[in-house]
Amino acid sequence: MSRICKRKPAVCTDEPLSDSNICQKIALLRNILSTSYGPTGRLKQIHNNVGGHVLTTSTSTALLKRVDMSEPLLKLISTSVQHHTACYSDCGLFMGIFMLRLIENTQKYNVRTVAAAKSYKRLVEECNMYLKGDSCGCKVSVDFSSCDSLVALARSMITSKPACMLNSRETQHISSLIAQAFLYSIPCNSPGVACFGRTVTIGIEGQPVSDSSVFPGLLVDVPEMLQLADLKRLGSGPFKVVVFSASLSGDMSEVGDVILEIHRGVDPEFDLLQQLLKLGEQVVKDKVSLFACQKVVHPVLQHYFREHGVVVIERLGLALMEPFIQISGAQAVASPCSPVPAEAYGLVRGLCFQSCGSRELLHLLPPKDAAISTLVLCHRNETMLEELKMTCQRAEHVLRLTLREPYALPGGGCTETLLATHITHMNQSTATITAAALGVSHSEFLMAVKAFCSSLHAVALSLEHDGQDCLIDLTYAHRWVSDIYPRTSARQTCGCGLVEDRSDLEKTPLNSACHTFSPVFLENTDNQPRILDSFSAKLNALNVAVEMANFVLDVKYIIKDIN
Amino acid sequence: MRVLEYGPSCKQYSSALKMSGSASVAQRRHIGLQQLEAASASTHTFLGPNKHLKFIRDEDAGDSVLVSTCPRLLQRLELDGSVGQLLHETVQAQQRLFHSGTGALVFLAGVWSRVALECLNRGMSVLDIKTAMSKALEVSLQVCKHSAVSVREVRPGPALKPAGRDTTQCNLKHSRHFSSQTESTKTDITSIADAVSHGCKTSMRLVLKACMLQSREDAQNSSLDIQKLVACSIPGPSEERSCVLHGYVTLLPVQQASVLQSLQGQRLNIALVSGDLCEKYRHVGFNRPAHITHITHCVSSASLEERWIENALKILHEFGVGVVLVHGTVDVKLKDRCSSVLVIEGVESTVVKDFSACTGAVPVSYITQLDERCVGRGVTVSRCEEHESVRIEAASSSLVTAVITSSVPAKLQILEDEFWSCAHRLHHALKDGKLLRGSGITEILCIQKLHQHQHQQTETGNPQENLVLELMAEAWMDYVSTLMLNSGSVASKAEAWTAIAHQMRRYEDGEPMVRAFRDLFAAGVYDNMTVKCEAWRRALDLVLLVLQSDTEIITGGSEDLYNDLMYL
Repeated sequence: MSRICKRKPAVCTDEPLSDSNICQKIALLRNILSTSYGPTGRLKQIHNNVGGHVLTTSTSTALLKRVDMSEPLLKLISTSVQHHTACYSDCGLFMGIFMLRLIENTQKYNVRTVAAAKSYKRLVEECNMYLKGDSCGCKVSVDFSSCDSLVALARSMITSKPACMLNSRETQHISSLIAQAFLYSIPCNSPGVACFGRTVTIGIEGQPVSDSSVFPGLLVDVPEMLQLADLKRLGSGPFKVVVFSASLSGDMSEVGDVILEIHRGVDPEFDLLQQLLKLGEQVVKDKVSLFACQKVVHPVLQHYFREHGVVVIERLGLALMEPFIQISGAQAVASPCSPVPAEAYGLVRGLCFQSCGSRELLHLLPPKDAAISTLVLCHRNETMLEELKMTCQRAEHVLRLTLREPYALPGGGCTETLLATHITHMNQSTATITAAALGVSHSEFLMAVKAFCSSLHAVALSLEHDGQDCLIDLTYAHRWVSDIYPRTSARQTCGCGLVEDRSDLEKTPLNSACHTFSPVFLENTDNQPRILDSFSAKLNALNVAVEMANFVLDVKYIIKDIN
Repeated sequence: MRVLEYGPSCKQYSSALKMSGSASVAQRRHIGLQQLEAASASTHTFLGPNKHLKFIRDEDAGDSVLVSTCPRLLQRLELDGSVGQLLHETVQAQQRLFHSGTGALVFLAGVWSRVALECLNRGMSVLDIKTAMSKALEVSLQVCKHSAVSVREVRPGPALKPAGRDTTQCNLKHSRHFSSQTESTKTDITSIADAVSHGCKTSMRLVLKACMLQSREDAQNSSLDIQKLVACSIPGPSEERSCVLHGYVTLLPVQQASVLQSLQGQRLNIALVSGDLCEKYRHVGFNRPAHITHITHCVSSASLEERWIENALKILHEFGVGVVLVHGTVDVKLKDRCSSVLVIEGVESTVVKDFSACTGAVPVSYITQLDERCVGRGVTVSRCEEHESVRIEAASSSLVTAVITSSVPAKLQILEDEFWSCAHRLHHALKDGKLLRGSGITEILCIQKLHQHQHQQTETGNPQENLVLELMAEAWMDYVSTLMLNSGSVASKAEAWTAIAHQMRRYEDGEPMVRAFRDLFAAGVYDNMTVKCEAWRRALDLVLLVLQSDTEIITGGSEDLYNDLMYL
């Protein structure tokens, strides 16, 4: 009996941004992101309420990956932030908060979508010009001749994630490890096109953070039956290596999900095992000492190898394949059916046991020019370790981005206040001309500037979560926090640490009306910003945020197929 | 029309109410901290040596269980919400690593949550609370570091003697190991064991015997190898029958009783199987093809199994195997048909490893892999008449089994937990080489140090820091007084506070520590250093994580499920 179901018509929402429910959700998302922002940001506990693991985080990547949005517009926003962080590893929260504020402010100040889009585009270009230009006083050059700015960049990223739960000593230790791992990943003296190496991150739960360290080469779990005596028997390296990407479990998964008809007397399992053993024979004959496989190796084959003194590493996993190939120069063999070609073999300089805290690991020593290292991170509990691992990986990536653009921006909200001050000041006198050139009305353009700048201020304000007042100084346009307890010993500095406080420095609460001024550049100062943000990441976040805000503002209908 | 979809929902922890103007935060209620405090309160009776058992009934399943420790309680409670889950994870992690210290961890998580809540009420910022509480913990950890005593200085309490009551035929031949101990080592390890027995004298006596059995070759260097220790719970015989035996002891399957009879007294060959011993078993990572049709006169699966069993028996016979230890399960039919081979299933992998190392046997995944080189030699089996169990020994092994018996089956789990926590306490005492004075003395020293710190007014500091240090000192006070109340030395917490204050004054007036705290210290109780410090750190980590959290996000629920929540 067949049944016919009538298809339901699609559901259409027009002017989604005028829907109060959608606006509420946008505000909620913005609230979640802005309460997570910065070193004192509040943590979010994400779980499924049925006993699943609890993720404690304030990182946009982790947050947005786990949380599904019900509204298409929110999904769009979430995806764009995730895409940004996948490429730049930093400024995800900045992008989210700025974008959502821009959307909200455009509605609040009642700027027409078309006018807003044109104006914002213009303003973000001014920002780009300002930040990229030589005269930009807030940009900091990353000095590769010393570790200081690299460590400062890494430290800023770690301190901005409080769920890592590090004290200052631990923060310093981890920051220098990140800088060290980054330096290990730069190949030296390699001819031709230089290619970045890799940093593999391993987490060990239950050990103090101070046990964390970085090793050149690769660390993998010790194969189950490998003992010290086996390594001693191997002698000293280098050792011949082969690595398989195919499963050597001896099953028929390679043929795919098809219907098999097997005749009586045929035992495919047995035949496949014989084939594996033939492969084993060749490998032993070719004097291989280390046999690695991304997937499972049949226990009978493993047994055969052990008897012939070959070390087997199975279940290496996809993530470790690439670094393994880089470190050994081997080519991954994709099929166990044909003999291993001679050029597929690689070399490892040596093998040894390395104990990290309570865990024993097998250390594959790299050849001198291989830029592979393993960052072993230890922390007391799982949820903190998770955040630390993620943060360290992102920080190392940000350091790599500095090689492309060797700059950093002052953090602690100072870049935002500076940009907002610059934009307001620049457009004060030229507003009429610019508005005419863009084809929008003068007042609309001024409103757009206001919406844009107060969105930037909103980001800077989001750094404060304990009810303290945020201020801006009227000379350098850096961000300040009013200090509740006057500390006598240390001089107070601005958010990024570049400007030192002095009695004649005039300050006013952020987002309060004040006269416009052009920020003065601080020259000839010995101070270095303590808090640095990635230049590339921030610039991209700024641009994509504006583009996405314009896009979301422009959505007229949402059509949903509910069948 | 709008369609409701599944989506994540949010709960806000603390609601900050913006007042007119810039004055902020009128109301601060932190639900997460309150939950943590409440969850902790239910475990207060677990603190100290006299543990009050809790009876947990599962209304749905209709069964009930007795618990006496935090990990077991939390396992059963099924706390919902992220805070309950985080508490559970923290306790599990501590338990996995140390097998003790969870009572203090949960207690402190509760009282420190109250400290944090109090600070929030007084208008302190989260950052300041975090900094000050971390400082207070640092001070307390320093106290531990400085007040630790070497295990050699442990003042022995009422000594634990390796009682001779279980000189059964099973371990008679090992009794010489006891007499071969030099007098000094024996006293050393006995008094250390006594100091960390925490009221579980019977269990600690078992541990001590395990220790002596293990170190028979090196009497000078008594230590406890946790890796070479197994426990076997046997319901039926009374608790006095509990004993420690060399080798691997496990319940004897009924079918195997006659096999054992014929194997006793021989030197046997052994095979180790790391997977299941049955025809259907395939190693991990082997994917069975989904659609296979066998063409013509296909062999039925019954006869396939039959052929496999015959083959397996043939192999075992061929290599003269007398004992097979299987990590997984064993085919029922095979078990029935083994007339000359003892097959034991569900053997822990540490045991398999030990037999591999001591007999030369190589663990195999499939019985067909077995060859001459994989077979180990020189194993003996014997039957322990008292409790239907079998003992399998390799001469060179230091593996020992604690046989834990009870005529009340419900108590077996509790006794086994107790045994393991004693074993780990002794293990860590020997590993650290240091111990902390127990029964609350270390915590009282912490109170004192925190008071001293309050008087050293730091000039750069936050004026409210003193408040936090005072509250933390009070939390320790609460800890010690609960300990005293649970141990029955006082009738009320108020009485405990007076007693503590009195003893602290005596100490501050210059009396030596042991004299000043003699009322507390009469028992000669010591605590593990690393275990305690880690429990403290983990408790504060948990409190600070929750303190800094403002939102709980639940993924995957339907929108009608939680009416009071917001949805994204």
